[in-house]
Amino acid sequence: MHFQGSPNMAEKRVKLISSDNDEFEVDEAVAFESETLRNMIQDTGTNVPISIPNVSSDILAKVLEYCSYHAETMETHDDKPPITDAQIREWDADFVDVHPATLYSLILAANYLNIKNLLDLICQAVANNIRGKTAVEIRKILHIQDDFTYEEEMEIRRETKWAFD
Amino acid sequence: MGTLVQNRQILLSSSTGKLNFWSLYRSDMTNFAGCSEFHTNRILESSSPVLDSQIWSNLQPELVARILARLPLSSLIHTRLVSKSWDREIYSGRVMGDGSVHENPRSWLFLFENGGPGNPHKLHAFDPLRNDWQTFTTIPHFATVQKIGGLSLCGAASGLMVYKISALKSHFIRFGVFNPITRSWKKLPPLLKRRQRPVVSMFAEGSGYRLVVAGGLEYDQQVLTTEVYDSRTECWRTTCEKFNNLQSHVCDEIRTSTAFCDGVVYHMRFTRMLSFDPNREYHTFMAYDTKTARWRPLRVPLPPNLVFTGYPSLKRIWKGRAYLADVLPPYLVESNGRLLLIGFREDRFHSVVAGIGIWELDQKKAWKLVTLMPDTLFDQMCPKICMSAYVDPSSYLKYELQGAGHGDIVYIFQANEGQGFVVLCDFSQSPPAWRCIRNGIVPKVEYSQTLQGCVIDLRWDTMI
Repeated sequence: MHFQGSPNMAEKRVKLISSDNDEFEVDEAVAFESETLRNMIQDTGTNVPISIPNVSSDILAKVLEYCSYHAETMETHDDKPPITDAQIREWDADFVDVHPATLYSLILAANYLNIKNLLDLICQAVANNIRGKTAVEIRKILHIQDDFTYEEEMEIRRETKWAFD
Repeated sequence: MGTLVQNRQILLSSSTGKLNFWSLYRSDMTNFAGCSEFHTNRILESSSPVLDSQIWSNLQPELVARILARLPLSSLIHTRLVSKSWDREIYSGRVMGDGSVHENPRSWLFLFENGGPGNPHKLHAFDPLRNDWQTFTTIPHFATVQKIGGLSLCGAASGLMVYKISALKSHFIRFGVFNPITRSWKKLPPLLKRRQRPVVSMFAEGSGYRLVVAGGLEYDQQVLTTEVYDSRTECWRTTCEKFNNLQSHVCDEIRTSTAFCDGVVYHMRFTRMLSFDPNREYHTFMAYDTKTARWRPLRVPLPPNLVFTGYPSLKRIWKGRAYLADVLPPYLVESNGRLLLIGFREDRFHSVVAGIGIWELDQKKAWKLVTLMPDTLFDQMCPKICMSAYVDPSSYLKYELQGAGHGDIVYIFQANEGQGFVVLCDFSQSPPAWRCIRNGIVPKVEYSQTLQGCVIDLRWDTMI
C-alpha cells in the first residue's frame, strides 16, 4: 500500500514499515515532519526502508495523513491559494475528533516519532475534553482505575475544598 | 492487507462520523455500565492490539504532565482525584513548575484586593501561560476572624504568600502564611519584639521558607533588631541587633520597597518630610545579607532621570490639560536573580513625567536603564486624579505604581479607583517585550484602599 503524498517526482521517497509489516511510501518532506524519522533518514539515507516497530499501520497511516497535510501547507503553489491558518485549525480539529482509544495510540506514536506539533495538538485535544469535568467523569471517559482509598480521597478533598464547592 | 484497509475505515469513520465520544459517556452517566459495554464491544470490533480498556492508566508520566499542563487551574485541581499517578504528576513540578513542559515556568501573578468594610477580600490570579485571569473569593481563614483590623500582602516565596495581620485592639502585627492553591494557612507565632511597620521579606530555603522582619517602631521607639522565622524550627530568632531606621516618628510619611535577590534582602525607603534643607536625604538604600546576618548601607545614587516625591512640581499633560503631578517613589523587584527598580522617568528639560523605566543594579553597583515602557502603554495607564487643598485647589495627578517580579516576568500594576491596570514585561525576549494584560477590570470598589501583588510558582507541596 502506498500512501499518497504530494505527487512531486523530484522529491526523494522514503519507505516506512509499520509494526504489522505494512509498507508506506512518502515524500521525504512528509517524513521530515518527524524528528525521529529525520534523524534516521539522515543516518541511513532513503534507500533502506525504515521500520517503526511500535506503531501499527492504522495509526501510522493517520500520523502520515497529518504529516503530509502539514508538509503541504508549508509548500507554496503559484496556481493554488495558500492554506489559511483558520483552515489548518479546522483540519486539525477534525483530525483529533476521534475515539479516545485512537487518540491514545496517536499520542504514543507522536511521542515516539517526535512530532512536536502533533503531540501538542493531541494533548490539547485531551485537555479540552477533560476540562471542566469531575474526576469521576474523567476516570469514566479514559477508563482509569480509581486507586485512592476513601481516606486518601477525603484528604485531597479537604486540601482543595475551595475547588469542589 | 485486507485487515489494514478495514482498520483504516474504522478510524476514518470515527473521524468523519462526528460522533463525540467524549460526551457520549458523560451524557449517559446514569447508565454507565451500558456505556462501558458498548465501549468494550467497539474496541473488540476494531481488533487493534493497543485498544485496551485500561490504556490511559498506563500513559507515561511525561505525557500525562503534557496534557495536565494545558488545563486551567480549577480543572487541574479536579484531576488530582483521578488516580494516584495523576496526583503525583501534578506534584512533580512538570505541570506547575519547571521548563521541561512549558517554555515559561508556571509563575502566576496574584493581586490581593484589600476589601475594606463590608467588602470581601479578593485574590485575582493571572496565569501568563494561558493569558487568563481567575478570581478567588475565599481568602486565608485568618482574614475572616472578626478581630482582625487589617490584612496586607507583604511577600511570597515557594508558592506561599505572607500576610501582615494587624489586630483591632493592638497596634502590633502578626504574620500569616497562606497557600492559595491548597488554601491551607497558618498564623505564625508572635514576634519576639513587638513592632509596627517593619521591613518584611520572605524567601525560600530548602523545602521551606524564611521570613525576615527588621526594624519598625514600638510606639515611638525605634526597634533595632532583626528577627528571622524559620519554617523548619517554627520559631523566631533574633539575628541582628542593629538596624538604622531613620524613622523618628510614626507620622513621618515613608514609602518603602523591599525585594529579595540572591541571598540578600534589599530595602529602599523614601522619607517625605517638608524640609527646605537641600542636603536632606530622601532616599535610603540598604541590604541585609542572609548568610552573615548583617545590614549594610548601599551607596548607589538613584538613576538621574528617575522622579519621585522629592520633586512635587512636575507637569503632565493628560487629556489635553496640564496638571501638577505627584509621583510616588520607585519599586524594587527581583527577576531571575537581577535586582530591578521600576519607576517614573522625568523629562528634565520640560519638567514633565515622561514614562516608566526599569533599571538594573549592575556589577559596578550603579543603576543602569534596561527598558522603557512603550509610550502607547504609558498613555493608557492613566494617573489617578486627586483633589488636594494643599497643592492646588484644582485636581492634580497622582502617579503610583507597584511591581512584582519572578522568573522572566515583571509585572507593573496600579489600582486606580476602578481603573486598575496591569502591564507585563517579559525579560526572556530581547529586547524585553511589554504588553497590557488588564485594563480597568480590577476592583470597582470605592472602599478598595489598596491592591498588593506578588508572583509565585504554584505548588502545593511546601510545608507552611
